[in-house]
Amino acid sequence: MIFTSLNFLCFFSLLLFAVRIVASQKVKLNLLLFASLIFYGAWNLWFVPLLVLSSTIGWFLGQKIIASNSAGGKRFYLVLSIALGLGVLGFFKYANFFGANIAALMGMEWIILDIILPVGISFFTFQNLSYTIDLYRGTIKPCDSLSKYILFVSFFPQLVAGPIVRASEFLPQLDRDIQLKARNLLIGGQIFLGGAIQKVLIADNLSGFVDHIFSNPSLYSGGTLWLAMFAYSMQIFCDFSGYTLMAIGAARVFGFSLPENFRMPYISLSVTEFWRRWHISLSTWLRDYLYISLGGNRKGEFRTILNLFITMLLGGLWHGASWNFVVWGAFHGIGLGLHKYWVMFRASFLPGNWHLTLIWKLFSWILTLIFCCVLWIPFRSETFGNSVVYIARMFSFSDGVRWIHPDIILLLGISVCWHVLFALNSKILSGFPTMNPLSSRNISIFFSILLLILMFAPINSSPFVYFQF
Amino acid sequence: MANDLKTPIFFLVVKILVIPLIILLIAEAFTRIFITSPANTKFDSELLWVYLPNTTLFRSHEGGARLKLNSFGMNDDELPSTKQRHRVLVLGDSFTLAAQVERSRNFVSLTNDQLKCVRLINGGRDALQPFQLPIIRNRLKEPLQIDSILLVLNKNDIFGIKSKLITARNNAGQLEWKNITYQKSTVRELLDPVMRHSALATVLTRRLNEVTMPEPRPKSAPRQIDAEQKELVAELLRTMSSADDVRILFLPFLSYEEDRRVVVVEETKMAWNVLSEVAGRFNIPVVSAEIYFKESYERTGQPAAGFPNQVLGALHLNESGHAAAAAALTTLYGDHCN
Repeated sequence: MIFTSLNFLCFFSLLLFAVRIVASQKVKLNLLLFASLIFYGAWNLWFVPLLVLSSTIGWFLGQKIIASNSAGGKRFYLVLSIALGLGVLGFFKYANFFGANIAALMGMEWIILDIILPVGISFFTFQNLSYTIDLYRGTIKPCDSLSKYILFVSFFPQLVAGPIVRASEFLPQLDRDIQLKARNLLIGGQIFLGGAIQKVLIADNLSGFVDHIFSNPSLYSGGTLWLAMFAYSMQIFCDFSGYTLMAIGAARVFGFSLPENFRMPYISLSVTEFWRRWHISLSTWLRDYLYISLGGNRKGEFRTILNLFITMLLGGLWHGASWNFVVWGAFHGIGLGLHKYWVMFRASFLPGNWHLTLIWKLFSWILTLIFCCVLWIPFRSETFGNSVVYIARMFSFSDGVRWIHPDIILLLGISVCWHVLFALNSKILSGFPTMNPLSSRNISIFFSILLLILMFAPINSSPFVYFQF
Repeated sequence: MANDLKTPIFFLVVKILVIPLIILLIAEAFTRIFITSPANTKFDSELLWVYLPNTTLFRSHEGGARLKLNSFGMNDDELPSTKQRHRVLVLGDSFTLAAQVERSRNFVSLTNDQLKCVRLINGGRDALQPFQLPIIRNRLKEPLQIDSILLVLNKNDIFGIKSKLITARNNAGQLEWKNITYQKSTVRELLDPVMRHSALATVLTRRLNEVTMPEPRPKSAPRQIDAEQKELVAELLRTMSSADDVRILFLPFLSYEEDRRVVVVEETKMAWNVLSEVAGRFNIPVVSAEIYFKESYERTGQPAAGFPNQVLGALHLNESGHAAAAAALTTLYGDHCN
């Protein structure tokens, strides 16, 4: 069930109605839990027990960590929770990848295991892990109710593609009254609509072009490949950030706040800044639970850079079991390391405020943008070989089929304007959402959006890119 | 007090009515400039629909040429009443109509430029069914003073020729074309005038059509042409060539692979084999544009068919394809001009 489907609209309306007529707080929570499991079961009913079991184990081990009197006992239960979480994730997501690579190294043949990847497993595993790690570190209080905990892990807006919600952010919200308020309905509805526009009007309309080019890059001219690279960069942003906005909006309707996940990443002036703006809930998760656990920046310059590299490498692998993702993560790790060195070098040998000049900022922006966009090529390519062919043809400006479509350029232009508008004045955007749906401005906006969706939304909406992770 | 209450409600109603109206007008203008012209067809009991004469044809999703149809509703210039050249009526589907390229760049015009002895007249029509070929020929032959016919066919015409709607067996067991009479539906009666005046309504109706259309057939093994289809192709060519001098241009579907390899789609091969064999039986000259498309791709690096954002190599001919098809036609009619 995807957010932009009629099924979801019916499901959501029914849930709203049910929550509205029920008075008991406990029943409301159970309704949300039940609805979340139905939402998940709509993909594959057989994985609902996996979700419930994995949450139950997470909760149970959390209780054990708290109940343990000794540091050794606490550590034992933490390690057990990490091992179980990563074990399940590893089996479903990486068994074939590692199996095939190890078999290849040993000169053997790997028989591909027929494993279906449960949707959202990477997301709910990380939520479980963050809970037990936080309990171990003593930064949060344990959740007293199993059903509340399962709802925290399985809450349908964020279940399959994030944002990755921390227990410290979400569990306290489950202790508050769930009341459907007009204000939340309006604000949530507007945020949801904003996300839907990004998804169906921009991302889905870019996907047709992108799919053609990436399926056979050897056929197309260098110019076309450059255009497709930028188109994919915008597609993945609009797709993922659109999904996140819809998740935030849907949660908001019930009065829940989910964390911000994107902050116009393509206006970044460095790779470091890009990761502060792109998939924020993942990058902060990796920072807090992996980078810091590896020693962070507390063990000298070299270890800091190495820790960054390892974190990004594993972050890449988190996205999928393929060398393409490993390469993507590794290069981002190298980019972050180089930027760290550059900042240190600049502070020591090139003092002054020259790096704040407009021309330097422009240079930094172009460099960062191209670096991040080029790295989307391995991320999107079907095979590692395709990535190599793509990048080689792109930089050699090879001859080939010129497949440059004005619609794509127009859509890219619109997306760029959206970023520039945000960069120039984020106050413009803080005008949204608004409380008066019948103001002239809002009637115009809503009617225009409706018309745009009717005219331009693809009939068969593509699945969200991040569902595969 | 009463006034205080009434005024906002009045303005609210005005606002709710006027603002969408203004947006609709803007959308209509936007649609006409960037997306499509209003629908330009009218109901026809034999052909289901025909193009309205002297109307504009513009669809931006492929190509984006803005064409003015002539007084016969054809994508061609007005014909002089006195005939100066041998007139060839070109009958085919949307590949022949060529709504995607400027008129001067389609294969009919390019051939006319190259061959001064014949005047090809574009009788192309969207979604043409083979059974409609004799009907269109009969309607246009006299008014346009046609001397001969050129059929432009592709694999879809051969594979799609079998239909219970259009064929029946007579008492002798032979296949025959059925005379079809369409009835105008109430929906059509209601929508036609709106669509003829509004490009926006045209777009929205087409989108509604897309929603209600069945899912496309999943890719599977190539279909086969059975004996009945072959018999129908023969019947069609016999009908067309019995009264006129007929020639055929076959447009192949090609697949563009890595390293500039071009592969002929399997179904195209089958259709071509059947067509060339049956045409031979009736001594109808026939040419395939295959080598011309391949040569053009080799030379320009651009495929003959397809537009950006559509499937590469499929769908309609682009300018490269039209030029290559014109080269094929020059060969086909070369003897005529010698």
